[in-house]
Amino acid sequence: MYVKPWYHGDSFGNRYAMVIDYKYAKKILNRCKNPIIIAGELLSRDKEAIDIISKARYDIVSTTPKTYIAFKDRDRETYYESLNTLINLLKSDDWKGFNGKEYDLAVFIGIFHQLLIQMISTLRNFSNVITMNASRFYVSIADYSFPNLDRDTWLEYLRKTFL
Amino acid sequence: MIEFDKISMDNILVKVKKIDSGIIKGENITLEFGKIREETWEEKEGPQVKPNIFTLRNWDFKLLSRYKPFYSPLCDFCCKCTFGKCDLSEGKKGACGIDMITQQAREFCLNVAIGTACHMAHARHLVDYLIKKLGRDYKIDLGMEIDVEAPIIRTVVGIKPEVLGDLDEVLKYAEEQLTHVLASIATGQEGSAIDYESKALHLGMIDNLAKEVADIAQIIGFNYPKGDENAPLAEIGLGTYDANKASILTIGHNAIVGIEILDYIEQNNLSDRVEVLGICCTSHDLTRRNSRVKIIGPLSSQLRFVRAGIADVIVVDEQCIRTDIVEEARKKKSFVIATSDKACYGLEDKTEEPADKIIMELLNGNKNAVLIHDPKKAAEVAVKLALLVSPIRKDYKKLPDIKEVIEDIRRCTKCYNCQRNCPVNLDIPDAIEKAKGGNLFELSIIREECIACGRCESACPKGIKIVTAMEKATEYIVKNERSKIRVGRGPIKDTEIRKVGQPIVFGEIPGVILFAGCSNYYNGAKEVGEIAEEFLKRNYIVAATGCAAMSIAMYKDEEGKSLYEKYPGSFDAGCLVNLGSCVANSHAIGAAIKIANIFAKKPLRGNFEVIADYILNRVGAVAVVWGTMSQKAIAIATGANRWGIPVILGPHGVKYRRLLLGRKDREEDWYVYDARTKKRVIADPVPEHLLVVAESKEEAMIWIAKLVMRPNDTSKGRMIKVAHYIDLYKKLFGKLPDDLHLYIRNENEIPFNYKDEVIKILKEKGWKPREIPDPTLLERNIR
Ligand code: SF4
Ligand code: SF4
Ligand code: SF4
Repeated sequence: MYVKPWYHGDSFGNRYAMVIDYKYAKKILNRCKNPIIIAGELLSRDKEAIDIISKARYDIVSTTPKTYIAFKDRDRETYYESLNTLINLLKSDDWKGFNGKEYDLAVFIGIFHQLLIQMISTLRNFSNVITMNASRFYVSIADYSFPNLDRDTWLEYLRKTFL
Repeated sequence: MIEFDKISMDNILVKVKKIDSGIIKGENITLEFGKIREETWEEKEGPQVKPNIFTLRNWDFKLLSRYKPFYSPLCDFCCKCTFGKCDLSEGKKGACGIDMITQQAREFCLNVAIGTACHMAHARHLVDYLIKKLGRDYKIDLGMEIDVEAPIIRTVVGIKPEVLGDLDEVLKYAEEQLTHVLASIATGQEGSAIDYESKALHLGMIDNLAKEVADIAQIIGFNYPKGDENAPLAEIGLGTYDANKASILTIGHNAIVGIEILDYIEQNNLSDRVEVLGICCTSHDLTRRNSRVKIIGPLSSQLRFVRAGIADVIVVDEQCIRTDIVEEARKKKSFVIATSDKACYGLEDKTEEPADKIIMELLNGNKNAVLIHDPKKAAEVAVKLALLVSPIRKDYKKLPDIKEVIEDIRRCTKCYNCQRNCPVNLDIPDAIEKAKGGNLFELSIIREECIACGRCESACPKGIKIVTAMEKATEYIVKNERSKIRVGRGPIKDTEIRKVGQPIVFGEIPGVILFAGCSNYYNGAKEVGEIAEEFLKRNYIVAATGCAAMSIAMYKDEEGKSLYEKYPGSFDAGCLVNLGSCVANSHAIGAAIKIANIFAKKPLRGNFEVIADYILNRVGAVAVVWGTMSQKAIAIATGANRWGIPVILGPHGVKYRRLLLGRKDREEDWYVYDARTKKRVIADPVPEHLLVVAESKEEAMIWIAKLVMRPNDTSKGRMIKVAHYIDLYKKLFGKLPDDLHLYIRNENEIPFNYKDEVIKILKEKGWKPREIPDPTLLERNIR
C-alpha cells in the first residue's frame, strides 16, 4: 500500500516504509528479541497516549526530562538518554544497551517529526537496527510505519499494539 | 618627469599626478606595491601563521577522533553532477565513487562554505566601502581598554591589524582559503569524509576571521560602541513604530545603506517626519550607530511586519531576506529598494539615474521596486520616497478587517495541506475550523509557535491567507509588543578579561554561554529567554547575538521588564551581554582567545593549536544556537568547534546533516597529556560533545550545565559546576543524575548540599578519586 508521507518534505528516494497496522506491529514486536520504545518530548504533552505507552512491557527510553517525568508520574520508570546520543549508541557495535543486550528494534513515538525523520535516517543508513514509527503520521524512511491516522484510530492502534 | 601626489608608508601606495617619461604618459595613476610596515608587534611568530588546509589537519583529526561525526542524511541521492542522480543508499556508491558518509560530509562542508562566503562577502563590502571613504590608513582603535583588538586575526593571520588596509590583507588570505575548500567539493576531488570534516572546520575558523574583520571595520568606520557595557537601550518589537511618521524598513545584515539613510535623515533634519525600522542584523547594527532606530524583530517578524503594511519603503541589503519580498511588498503598496549584488530580484538597475527621476518613475509607473547599488543614492531615494508615499499609503497600513479574514478562512476545506507543509506541524486546519464562527482565539494560540515562514499559505489550494489570519488574531497584542534591548556593545574589554579570566579557567564562574543564530524555533521564541534567565540567575556569563539576542529581549518577567533591563551588560558573572549582529559572534570566540592570551599569557601569533587546546581544556564556554536556519549559523558553530567550544543546536539543526558526538562511556577517547607529569592519562569526559542537538528546552539546559565543564577545572570550580548540574537535573527529573562519578574527581568536588546522596551514587558506581591533570592534547606541550 502506498501512503503519502504526512510531512510533504519527507522524501528520501526510492525507499518507503512498509505501512503496518497494529496486528503487524505486534507481530514485529513479538518477533524481535529486544525492542526499545523511544519516547520523545511530544509524548509528554499527550495524556492518553502516554497512559497507554506507560503500560507497555518493553524497555522505554525517554529522550527529554518532561517525558521522563510524565512516565514517572504514571509509576513507570524509564531510561533517560538524549535523542541524538541515544541514536549514536544504538548504531554503535560496541554498545550493549541499557539492559546489557543489544536492541534490534527501535520504536519511535512522540518526537518532533523533523527530528524524528533525521534520527531514523541515521539508523536506516548506518545500522542494522530495525526502525518502526508508531507516531500518528507516516514517515517514509523507517522500515515500518503506521499510516497517517486520525487521533482516535491512532490511540486504538497504540492500545492494540502495546497493551 | 614624475609628480608625486601622495606616498603612504603603510602599503607603498604611490599616487602619481602626472607622468611623462617618453614611453609612459598619464595622469592620476595609483600604484600599489605590497607593504612595508614598521613592525610594532614584538610577539614571536608561531608555526601556524596563515594556516592552509594542511596546517591544522592534525588538530582536526584529534578533535574528530574524540568527537566523531554523526550523520543524518536528508535524502538518499546525490545530484551534484550530470553523472547522477546517484542513489547512495544501502552501501551503493555514486558514479564518481563517493559513498553516503563522504557525501554527507561533503554536503556539510558545502553548507559551511556558503555560510563563510556570506560573512566574508559582507566583510569585503564593508572593508572596500570604508577604505574608499576613510582611506587604507584609517586607524583601528577600539579604545583605551582594548589592546588586543583582534584576537582571531592575531592568532590566525599573525598580524596585529593597525589600519583598515590591514583588514584587506586578512580578507585576501581568507578568500583564498575559501576558494580552495570550495574547489574540493567539486565532483572527483576529495574522497574522504574525515578530510571534508577537516576542511569544514578550516572554513569555520575562516568564517570567524571574516566576521572579526567585518565587525572591527564597522565599529571603527561607523563609530559603534567599543565594548561599552553601558551601551544604551533601544526599543524592540512589532509595536514600536510611530504611526505618525513615514517609515523605512531595513532588512538584512549589511548596515552600509542603512547608515547612509540615517545620515541623510540627520543632515536634512527629517527625524521628526521619518523613522528607520529594522529586521535582522542590519537593525542591530543601525542601533549601534543610533539607538533611536527601532528593531522590529528577528527573521520571523519579516512576513508579519510586511503584511501589516506599516513600511512605506523597504530597503534590503543582504542575507536572510525573504526572496518573495518584492511580491509581498507589492500587495501592500510598499516600495522596495534592493541594494546588494547578492539580492537583485531581477530588478532594473537604476543606479546611474538621478534620484528624483527614479522616484518619479516609481510613483508614476507600475513597478514597486528598483535596484540601486550606490548606497548614498539608495538612501536619498528611500527617504524622499517614504515621505512622499506615506500620506497616500495610510489605508494600507493595517491588516484586513475581521470580516474579510473570516470570509477568507471560511473557504477552508480541511484538506490538511497547510499542516503537512508546516515545519512545526501546527494544527492549522483545526484552528481555522474553530475560527470560522468569528472567534480567532485558537489561531492566536498556534501563532506562538509559528515562525511565519508562509509555507502553509503557499501549499493551500484555496490560497487562504493563513499568516494574515494569525496576525489578525493577535492584532491587539502585537500593537503593544514593545520591549528593550541593550545595543550591541561589540568586543569584550581586556580589563574585563583580567577580572574574569581566572574565575572562568578555575571554574568558579561556572560558564560562559553564547546564544547565537536565527529564529527558526520549533516551540516558540520565548524558550531562548527562559534558558538565558535560568543561567543568569545562576551567575553564568550570558552573551547573545543576532536573532537570539532579539528573542531574549522579547522575553519579559512578571513586571514587564526585559532581561536587558534586569541584568547588567558587563562580561561578568550574572550579566547579559548583547555583542551585536551575527558578525559580532567573533567577539565571543575572541573573549575565549583573550583569556588564553591575557590571563594565561599564551602567545597568539600563529599559534592556533595552542590557543584552541587551551580553550578546549580550560575555558568553560558553550554556544546555543536554538533557532538554526541559515548556512551561516552552521559556519559560526563549526568555527566555534575548531576552537574547542561546544555548540548545542535546536531540533531543526539536525538538518545540517552532521553532529560531533563524544562517547563518555569509552574511556580511551578521553586521553589527554598531563603537562606536569608528561604522561598520557585518561581525563574526565568533558566537554562531552562538540555539536549536539537538544530536543527540548529542558534538555538544552542540562547540556549547558554539562558542556561548560573542562578537565582543568579546579576542585572548587568543578564543585560549583557539578552543583548546578545536580540542581538542574533534580529540578527537571526529580532525582540525581547517574553519571556523577564521571565528573567528580575527588571528595572536595562533592557539592555540600547533596553530600549524602552523591556519596551513595559514587559508592554504587565503584568510584575512586583521581588526579586532576594539567591537560593538553598537544604532544609538543609535554616535551
Ligand atoms: S557527484 Fe558523484 S554521487 Fe553526486 S551525482 Fe555526481 S557522480 Fe553521482
Ligand atoms: S507560517 Fe507558521 S503555520 Fe504556516 S507553515 Fe510556517 S510555521 Fe507553520
Ligand atoms: S491548506 Fe487551506 S484549505 Fe487546506 S486545510 Fe489548510 S487552510 Fe484549509
